[in-house]
Amino acid sequence: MSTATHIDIPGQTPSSAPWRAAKSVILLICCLLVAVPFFSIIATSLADTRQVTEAGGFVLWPDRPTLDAYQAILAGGLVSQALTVSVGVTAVGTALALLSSVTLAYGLSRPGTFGHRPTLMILLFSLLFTPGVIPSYLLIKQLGLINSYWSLILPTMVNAFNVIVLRSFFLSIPRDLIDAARIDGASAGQILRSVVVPLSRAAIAVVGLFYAVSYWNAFFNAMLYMNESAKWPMQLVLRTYVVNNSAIGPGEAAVAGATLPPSQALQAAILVLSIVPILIVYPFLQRHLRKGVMIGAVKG
Amino acid sequence: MGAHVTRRDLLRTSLGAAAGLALTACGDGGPAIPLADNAKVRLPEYIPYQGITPDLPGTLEVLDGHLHYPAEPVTAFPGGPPAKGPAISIMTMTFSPVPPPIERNTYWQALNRSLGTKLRLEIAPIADYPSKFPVIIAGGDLPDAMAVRQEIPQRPAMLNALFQDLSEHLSGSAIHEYPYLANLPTASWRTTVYNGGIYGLPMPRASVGSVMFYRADRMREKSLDPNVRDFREFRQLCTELNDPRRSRYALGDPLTTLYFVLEMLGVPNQWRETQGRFTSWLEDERLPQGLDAVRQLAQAGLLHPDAFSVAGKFKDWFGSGQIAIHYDGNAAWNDFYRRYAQDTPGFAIDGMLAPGFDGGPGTHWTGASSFAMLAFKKAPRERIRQLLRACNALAAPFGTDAYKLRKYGVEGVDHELNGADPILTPTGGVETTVPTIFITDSPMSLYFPENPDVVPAQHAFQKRAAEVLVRDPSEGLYSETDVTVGGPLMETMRNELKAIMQGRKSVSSWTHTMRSWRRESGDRIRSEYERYWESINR
Repeated sequence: MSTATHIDIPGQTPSSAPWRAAKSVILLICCLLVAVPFFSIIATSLADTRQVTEAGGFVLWPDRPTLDAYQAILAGGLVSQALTVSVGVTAVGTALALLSSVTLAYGLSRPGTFGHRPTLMILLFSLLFTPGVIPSYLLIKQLGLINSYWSLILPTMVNAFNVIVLRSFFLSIPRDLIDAARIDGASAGQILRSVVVPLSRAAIAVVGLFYAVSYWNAFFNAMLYMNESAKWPMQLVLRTYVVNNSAIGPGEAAVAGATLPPSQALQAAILVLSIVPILIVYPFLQRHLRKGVMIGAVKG
Repeated sequence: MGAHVTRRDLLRTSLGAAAGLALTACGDGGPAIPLADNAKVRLPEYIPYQGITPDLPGTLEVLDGHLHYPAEPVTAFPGGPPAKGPAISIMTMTFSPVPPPIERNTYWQALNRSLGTKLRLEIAPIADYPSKFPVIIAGGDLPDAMAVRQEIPQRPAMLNALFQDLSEHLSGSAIHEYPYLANLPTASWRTTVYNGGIYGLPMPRASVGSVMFYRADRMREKSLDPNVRDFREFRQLCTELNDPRRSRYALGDPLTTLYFVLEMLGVPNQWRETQGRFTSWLEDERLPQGLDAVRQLAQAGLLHPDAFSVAGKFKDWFGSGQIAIHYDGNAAWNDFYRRYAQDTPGFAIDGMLAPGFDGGPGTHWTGASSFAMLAFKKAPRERIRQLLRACNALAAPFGTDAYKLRKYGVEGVDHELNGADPILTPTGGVETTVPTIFITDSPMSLYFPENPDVVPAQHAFQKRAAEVLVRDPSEGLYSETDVTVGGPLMETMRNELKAIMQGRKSVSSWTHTMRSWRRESGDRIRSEYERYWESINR
């Protein structure tokens, strides 16, 4: 790590060494509060049955590391298949969601577009009144999408909040730039592709991450629309393991079952598997995210 | 994308969604059927399976005990697969992790071959089932069979509108055609009677459905006698087991500890029925005494310090020795040995029966006779017969080849034989989680292939408990209020009970809480049960 150099910021009184040390300690504690549970999940997933049960399900360091929990959940291939489904749904869903949201937001950011106001009203209406579970199910069923991956993608493809965020960003792009492109003979599509999108990478990255995370975390639609467990995404599989942790009451227990690793280890292993893909994607988006989160921050 | 969608379809779908709820979900439920019609229903004859002699014979209340699987299992279907025909779709639930899909599940494929049809299962995690069920019902496109749980509201009307009355196939001697279904106890069939007919198949469970487990190894270690004769001795035993300095406590879950103390006091199992008048366990005059007793245990530090703040950890606490006494389902007996015996030398558990609070015999509450029921979508007679033949096969009892396949899968893949006993392999442990026990099942039996020595203790506990069993008289009755608001209200009551046991509220506050329960819906639930009871008993 490089040596920290103190920089004087105009208008700010340099803090004393003890205060800086105190701040460092506070920040360190905050970091630990985030990192320890995360590390514990990884440690629990690697711990053996004895240690997990002795520790009451919360292991900080695996004494006898084992991959039993990973082997158990990957046996039969359900988890690996669920990972594939989740990755596919997230990738296709995010791409389509971005395409539809960017084009919709761009249209709504240009005054005078055909149907501009009613479309905006419909969008805002959907923000205030979301459809209920049963009407959504009936719609999906009538569209013939039950047990289809499209039922996981289409219902959440346009998120009104994300469209409004994008529209706000597009509105902040100087009109002169767009007029200049038009004078040069660019069509609306070309303007969007060559001017608006390159200038809006940060906003699109943020919205893309919102979509990706929501697709990745979604389980409820899959629970309703997917009849075959082979088509379940990761989060629904994870949920069944979490639910499985519930105490078995009188008369409701299963009869047979081989020695599986403890449920906490299984849950931890699936948690690890379910967060790895998002962790891999995050560093690539981080550069844009820092800019993206500032969208609208200094607007009056 | 699947179907071609026209603008008209879209419009009809979106506009018709709300109306569809009313029309598609319940259809025309038809005129209300008098409750009295349920009294006229002839339940299926009970014909116990005689194909095998158990090592430890049971009774209607006591499960049969088997030390070993027969070396030559009885062929359940000598004529070949019994349910040949089109695929069967069933929506049900699971407590277990989801099984691998059929394409990669040797067990599931073998099960289908043995049935002669393809079982298409729509499986929902148990906690999500109540959310999914009404949506599927509203959608109108039902699978061939669905598990119907006790929490489903408007059950009689829904069953009447959408599901098949199976009386002509199952009532009285008609059940002879399905001998393994005839082996299911009569009590479990009572839960399937609605609208003057039999509307489903039970998922039978043990009468002695729960056990107060204790760690026999810890008792031996401390030379303690687990056969307590009253509450005072129970408390003394707990005190001697307690060792907070080593993070070892006597008890875990305060609520199940309360149930155990209430069994000592002879408090009714959910309801008491006296000449058609129902009294809830919540109004029983002995409940405050039970609350005070558990409060004393808690104040003496005999409960795990986290006992009031966590849920779902008690099993692990008991298995790892953090607590020594734990109330759980009967089937957890084998599960404890499977999960914890490997890592704990000398691991041993047994069951403790509630003594009388002040001496003499206590009581033991029965579990539900049936976990839920499997209802069949209305269909032509031949299709219903095929479904019943498939379910008859899924109810094949212990000792048959069909049972062995259903519980232990394929030899060499899902299990290996130890003598004649099938021992599940890791693959088998994953593949056999196909939830056939939430379709229907044979009567449960006591059998533990990995450790047959445990079975006599299980059987002995069942016999002792059967002598003091107390049934829930509301089983088989229906109260719409209980179904719709009873669950959340009971959750509130449990929180109140815990607050008193923890010392956050006084024992005397219970009278007020109970009165508000009666006002809010307790009295309504009671009158609905009484009306139902009267209609079928007078």
